[in-house]
Amino acid sequence: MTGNERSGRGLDPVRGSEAAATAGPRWSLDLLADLHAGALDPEVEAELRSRVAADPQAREVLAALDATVDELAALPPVPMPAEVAERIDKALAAEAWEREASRRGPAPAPVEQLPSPPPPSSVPVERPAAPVVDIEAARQRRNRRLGWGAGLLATAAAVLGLVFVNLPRDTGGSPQPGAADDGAGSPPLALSEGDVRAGKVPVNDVLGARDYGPLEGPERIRGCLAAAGITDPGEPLGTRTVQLEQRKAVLVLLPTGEFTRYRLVVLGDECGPDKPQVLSDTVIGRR
Amino acid sequence: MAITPVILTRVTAAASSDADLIAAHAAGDPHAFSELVRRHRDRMWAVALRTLRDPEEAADAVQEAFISAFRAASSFRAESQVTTWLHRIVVNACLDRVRRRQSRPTVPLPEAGPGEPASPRDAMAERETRLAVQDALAGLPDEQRAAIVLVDVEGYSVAETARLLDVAEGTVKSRCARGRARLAKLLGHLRNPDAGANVPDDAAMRRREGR
Repeated sequence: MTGNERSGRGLDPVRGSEAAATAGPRWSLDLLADLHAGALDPEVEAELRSRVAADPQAREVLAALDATVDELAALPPVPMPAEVAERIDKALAAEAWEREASRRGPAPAPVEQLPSPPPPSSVPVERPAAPVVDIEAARQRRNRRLGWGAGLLATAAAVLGLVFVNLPRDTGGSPQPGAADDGAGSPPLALSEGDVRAGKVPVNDVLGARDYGPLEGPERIRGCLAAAGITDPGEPLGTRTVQLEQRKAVLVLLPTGEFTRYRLVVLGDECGPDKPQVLSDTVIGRR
Repeated sequence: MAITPVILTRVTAAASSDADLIAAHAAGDPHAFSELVRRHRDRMWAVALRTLRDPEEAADAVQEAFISAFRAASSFRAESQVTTWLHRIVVNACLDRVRRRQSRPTVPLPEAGPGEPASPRDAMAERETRLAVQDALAGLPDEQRAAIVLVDVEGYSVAETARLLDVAEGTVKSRCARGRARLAKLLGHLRNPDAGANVPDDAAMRRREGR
């Protein structure tokens, strides 16, 4: 809308021109800006508009205000940078963990006072009864080993209703002490290929873990994933040394963009940016 | 790729309304709030960055706001719009910071700072205009800038902005009016920017701020 269009509505051009001729321009920039912003009383606005209509200078001011508004509206959108989004996600994850921890404490949770979530018709609201590992025991182990992150994510998974598979720890070969260089001595998870393919992985023990084992660190993990064509995997939700059919490997839990699905990639211990060595690549979860 | 249904979920977040997500969050769904954040974070970021003009501070403010919102979900009133509630928390966090730093110098918004991508297709003139507008915005008093950012840049209605800023609609209009007048001068849209100052202001005609 231009200033002329604005000033052309509901005017009395005769009166306006008389005012302009006899009293001069009885307006100020601020007054016109108030008119432009709709900040005046209707009767005042009507009177001023009639004067403005006959005053080219005033119409120029209104047009200048329109141009200003147009330029402000044309400023480009500013999407949140990925690093800020990631930082906020982490802070919220920590918050979620604290909340969950307090819910499990003696204090009653305030849930009952709140609006209930819409119960999805096809999805059980109650947590599944079995087979679920002892979350408390698992959390204590994890928190000792990994700090808050693992506990948080595992707790989140528990609330989400993940069915954890309680794998025997000593199947598939003896643990190799020292294989987990960031795992504070926790042995590699022993997995069979069949378990991984079937999604029978103790997600609880992988979420939040930063155990890179033979692959040293996140950079090499990224290199291995990229070499395998997984170029934009998102931040791993957990990394854990595993023993896959007697073979030392690293399991990486990746987000899929869907809350209820994870991608499990098992990398061989010799992989690198130039050497893809994906032993298994599976999506678990449910749409 | 095998897909095994070993995961059950309470809420299909992608299909939920904002109000559903808040309710699910309050009931313990650990992902509901993240989804809410994902939906709204760009707009929140834009408001914070343009209000505070410092990416670091904007990030702090938005994070602080989201954490507050996370904790305050139990006090959320279902009758008010979730987005308005959430945005208000962000705006408040920004304004709190603005007030706290009143005496400190501000950091100019970088030319191609976070989220301000420089498109190669942009003509130089367009870019200069954009920078000029950003600079001019930075020169406004904080309260005027907040109103202008919300109404003119982000496209909130006057009524929404009034709720966000917790002031009367008339106050929003007045602040926008003052801010636009100042910007029009700074941006060179007024042929004789000083002309207005020489004309007696009919103060009696002016609507009182806040009415």
